[in-house]
Amino acid sequence: MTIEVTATILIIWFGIAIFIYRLDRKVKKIEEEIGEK
Amino acid sequence: MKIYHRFIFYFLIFIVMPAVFLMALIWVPPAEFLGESSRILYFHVPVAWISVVSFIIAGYHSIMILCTEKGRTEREYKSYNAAYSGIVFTILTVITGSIWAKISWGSYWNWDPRETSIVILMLIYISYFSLYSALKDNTNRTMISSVYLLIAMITMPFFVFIIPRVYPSLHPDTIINADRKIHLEAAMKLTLFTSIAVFTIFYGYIFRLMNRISLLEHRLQEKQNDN
Repeated sequence: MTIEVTATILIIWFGIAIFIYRLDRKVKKIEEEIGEK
Repeated sequence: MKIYHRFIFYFLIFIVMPAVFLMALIWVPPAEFLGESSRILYFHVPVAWISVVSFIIAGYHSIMILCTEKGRTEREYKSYNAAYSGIVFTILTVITGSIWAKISWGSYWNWDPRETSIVILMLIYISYFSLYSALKDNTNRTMISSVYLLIAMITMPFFVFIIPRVYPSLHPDTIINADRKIHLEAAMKLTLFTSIAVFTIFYGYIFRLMNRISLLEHRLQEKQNDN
């Protein structure tokens, strides 16, 4: 039972981390494209 | 992103968040009657909290769009992004809740009043995205979608706080309850509130990045149109 709980929690954590990382990269890319910092 | 912002972010995601996981999975004792599965509480409640906060933010920006002309474009993006993140966190709430339901009640879905009300709320907000994309070429899109989001926000407390309390439910007693007391041990309270705080900071960070992207894309579009 705890394995299901742990797996869910880890998926959420990695999901949030990857999502933030992707957003961060996207901001950087558009800022470079637009020539704005 | 400024260097200290990045530092805070990495500190949160690699130090604080794992610490919360360890607290939730190892340090905190399991809840009475609910057993080991109750540990999902430390993630189910924060994501549910974030979804409510997101819908309130979406509603707030919609009110501001309707009340003032200042910064309307920026507020449109903010309300859209808040509704978007709200629906994502609502889906996470449903997923974590379903897993908990499977362990506690023996089935992923039971049409419990709380489950039913959250599905209706999800449908209301999904309709917002349909409306928003359907009005792509309409000059009144901002105003119409803002009115819709405002109405959606008004219905939200009924589906989240009122209906599940009116009808008998299998759902455990919530944090905000009729006794006005949190029925948790000190260690559980500490873990839960730390988790809520960390998730709230993450949400603030995600929301900020999403708004920045929307604004930059808008500027890029304007720049391309000028050329």
